[in-house]
Amino acid sequence: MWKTILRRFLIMIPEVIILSILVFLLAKAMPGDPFTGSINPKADPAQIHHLMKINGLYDPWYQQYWNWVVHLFHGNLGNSYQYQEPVTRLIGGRAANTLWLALFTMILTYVFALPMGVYAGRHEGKLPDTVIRVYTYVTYCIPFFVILVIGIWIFGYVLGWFPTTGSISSDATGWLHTLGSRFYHILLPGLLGALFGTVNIVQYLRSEVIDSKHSDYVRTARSKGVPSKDIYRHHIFRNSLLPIAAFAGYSITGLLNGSIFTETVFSYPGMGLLFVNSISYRDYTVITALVLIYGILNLIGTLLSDIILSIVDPRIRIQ
Amino acid sequence: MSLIEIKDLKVHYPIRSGFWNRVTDSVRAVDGVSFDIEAGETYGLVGESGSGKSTTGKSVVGLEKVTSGSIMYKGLDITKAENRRKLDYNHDVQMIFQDSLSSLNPRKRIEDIIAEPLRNFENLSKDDEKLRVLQLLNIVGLDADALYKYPHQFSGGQRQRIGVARAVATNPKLIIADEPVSALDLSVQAQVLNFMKKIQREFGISYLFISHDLGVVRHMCNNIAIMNRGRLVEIGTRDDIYNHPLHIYTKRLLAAIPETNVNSREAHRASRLAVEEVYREQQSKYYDEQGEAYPLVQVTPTHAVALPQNVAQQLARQEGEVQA
Amino acid sequence: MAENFEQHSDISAADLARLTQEAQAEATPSTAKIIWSEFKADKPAMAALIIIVSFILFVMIGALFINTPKMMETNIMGYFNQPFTADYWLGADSAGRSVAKQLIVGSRNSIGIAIGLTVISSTFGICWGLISGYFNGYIDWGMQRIYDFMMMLPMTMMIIVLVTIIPHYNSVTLTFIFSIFYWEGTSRLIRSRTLAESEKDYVAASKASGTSHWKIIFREIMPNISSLIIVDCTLSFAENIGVETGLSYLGFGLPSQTPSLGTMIANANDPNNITQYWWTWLPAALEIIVLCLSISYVGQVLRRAADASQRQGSIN
Repeated sequence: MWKTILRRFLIMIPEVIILSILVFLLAKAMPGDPFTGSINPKADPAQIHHLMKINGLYDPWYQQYWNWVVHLFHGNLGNSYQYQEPVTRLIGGRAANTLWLALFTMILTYVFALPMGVYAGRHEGKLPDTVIRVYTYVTYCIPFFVILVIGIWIFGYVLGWFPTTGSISSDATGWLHTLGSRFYHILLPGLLGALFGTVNIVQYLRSEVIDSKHSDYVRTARSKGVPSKDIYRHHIFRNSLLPIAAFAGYSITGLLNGSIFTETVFSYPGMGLLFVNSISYRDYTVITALVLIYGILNLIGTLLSDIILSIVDPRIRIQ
Repeated sequence: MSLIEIKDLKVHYPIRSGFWNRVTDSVRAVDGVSFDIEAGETYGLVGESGSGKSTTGKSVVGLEKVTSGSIMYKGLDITKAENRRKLDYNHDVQMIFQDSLSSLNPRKRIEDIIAEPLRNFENLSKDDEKLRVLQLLNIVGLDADALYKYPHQFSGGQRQRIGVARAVATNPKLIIADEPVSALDLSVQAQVLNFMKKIQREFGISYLFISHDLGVVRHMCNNIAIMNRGRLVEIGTRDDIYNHPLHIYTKRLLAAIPETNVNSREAHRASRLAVEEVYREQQSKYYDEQGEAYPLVQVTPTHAVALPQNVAQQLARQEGEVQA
Repeated sequence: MAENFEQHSDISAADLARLTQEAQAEATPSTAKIIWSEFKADKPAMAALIIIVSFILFVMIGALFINTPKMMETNIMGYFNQPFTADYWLGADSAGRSVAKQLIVGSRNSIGIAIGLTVISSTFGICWGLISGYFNGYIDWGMQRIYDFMMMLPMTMMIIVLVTIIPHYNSVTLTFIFSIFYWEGTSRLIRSRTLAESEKDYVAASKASGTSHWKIIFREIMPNISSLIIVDCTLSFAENIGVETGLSYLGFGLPSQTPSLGTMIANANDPNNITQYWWTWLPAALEIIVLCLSISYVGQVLRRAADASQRQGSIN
């Protein structure tokens, strides 16, 4: 078991290295130099030249890459040219917002999806099953950003039930009020993300329940007279729990991808919105850092899921 | 010179384990098998499932990556892909598969299935090719209207005959028949086997006939090799194997042939039990310390058995006395 | 040997022609026929299919009659014109540009990119999956590692970065950039089916018949997974509509002078527009929803039909 995890971990290392090189080169290839925004446009070209030189921007790329990596290991991601602030601090503040929203969405997704999946599987082919299947199918095929726009329009603007911008209201005082306000701000995006992200879990759980409904051990339990509620709770549900937990890791990729849209629509100050803003300002220290962080988070998510699944099913341990 | 000579053939599948996923062990599916097939004969390869007989067959056709050993055909070792290419090897050596349904591409019409080897090895015009396919269908006893049908429109026996037609399409010298009839009904088995024999007579084909059923093998084969756990345990003519078996494994296989004569059922049962008894008591005599078969030793010019020299001689004498 | 064949050739050319006709008449229904009969039996599916086809034809042809640069000119007179009027029957946006016309051209652009993306990424994904699944061993291992790596990349971010790097991009370059990141799902699906298919004896039989690897992959295995490919392409098409429109919505897709469903929805980013001038963005959003739902509904029906043809192909 530990060997599997460790080996899986070692495979990650070259992936991260290649990702970092790729990200670095892409950032280099982006148009404009990093001083474009921060220096007075009337500044002396010689002065810019000097600044480029002392910042090592004329070095060969591998030299610059190496410097960048060394800084990276010292926790130094450089300064944001747009905000004139260390990138670590800038992202640190936003990361909490993004992860907080992602976690909330994930929890809500499970809250909605688990009962739906079990219920659909239990009543296979009957009306509730059909309704749930149509629901997951509809939610799956509509592009998420359209849902977000329509959601904020109806519930945020027309009905006015939810805030439409920010992560906290400006007049929040006291920790309880602060917490409440934060929660209130992520409620709508979280709900939309969860209601429209159930499809994988529901489908998996449904087919799992249907399969195990016909399996021998469930028949045995039933013939022994175990009430069907207990069969679903103890036998079927418990068996599918770990694989379902494994979806959490894989869904990180989707949640992070979605965060770019969610945060743009809701003007929610997280990493996704920061990325979109940084792109407009060519703030490439921030861009590289964010792409790297998202990639590594994706990797960790997949790693977690793979580990969970390899615990469940030894057959799929990586060769 | 024999048609094909298989020498010390080994097919090992690596087992990877440990931290670096190194090859730590291997499954020895075929572990040092040697035999020759003469032109025009049917050579039987018999063994239980998992004994490596199918792997041997696939190696001879060139479908399996061989670990070591050689398969000599026309003076070249065809375990190497470039030699197979040089010889157009599969023009001369074809295969009939056990599962007639999965061995025929469900999306292709019978014409295209049978013509496949022709298209690869012989440049025929469209009409010649169609005529050839029709002749092949005729040989295996199928009507011409089969041409445009799909495999699922045929019964198991018919499909297997299509498989035979495809295998003989290029007039091969050798056909590997991997359990060609085990998936068929008994009534259809005989039909297909008779077609195979008829084709052999007409075209002078050799068969490597792989089966677990000694009853069928007796009907088909002149020479027989018995395979057990990746090694050959006994080689001989039909008479050697059926009437003078030496190795306990051969005896057990023979005892397992169902007896159709109702009157001698009790006697058959008794002899089967006796063989089992010997097997339990004397297992160590027939297999070495690792539980593997010994190398083959020659007993008579045609008969070899995998036993230590002295044991083989002793058994052969005993067998002779019993026969006398 | 030849004389052996001769003695069996008792069939005339006329017989052959007759047999050919007979056999073709009673040959199994093709996959296309099965799918068609499935659609005829399912009225909603037929409706969805008609909606999609006629809508695509409508915007493709309609866009030809619209002068896009002229349409995109600012027209002060039409500033936020109300919908359902004679001049602007879906209203006008902040620059007085007709929403209805933008919708037609935008749909053409968005659907065109989605089709292009589906064609490129599916072709690539199918080839990748087939090759990876067929050649086991090192080739498969290497391809799988590349696949893993691509899966790790934050897709949307990478696309946005690439779009900003490329100086002069248009819908064609955009389609190619998207294609780099959208072949993985298809390849994974195809690979797992190819793995199962390669195990079957007909592949071994083809190898033993001297057929080359490439021919086996594309002529033997691919037809056997064709129904899966059709279904997957349809479903990816529905998904891919969301790809370009999403990026355009963020402002990193098509340039602002090229209308797209996504840029039209981006009108909703202005708090004034979203409530007061709803007609500037809502039609585009609704259109995407209807389009995606219809296409994936058709995909579901195709899947059912494909399963049915699979059944007919194996049982009997």
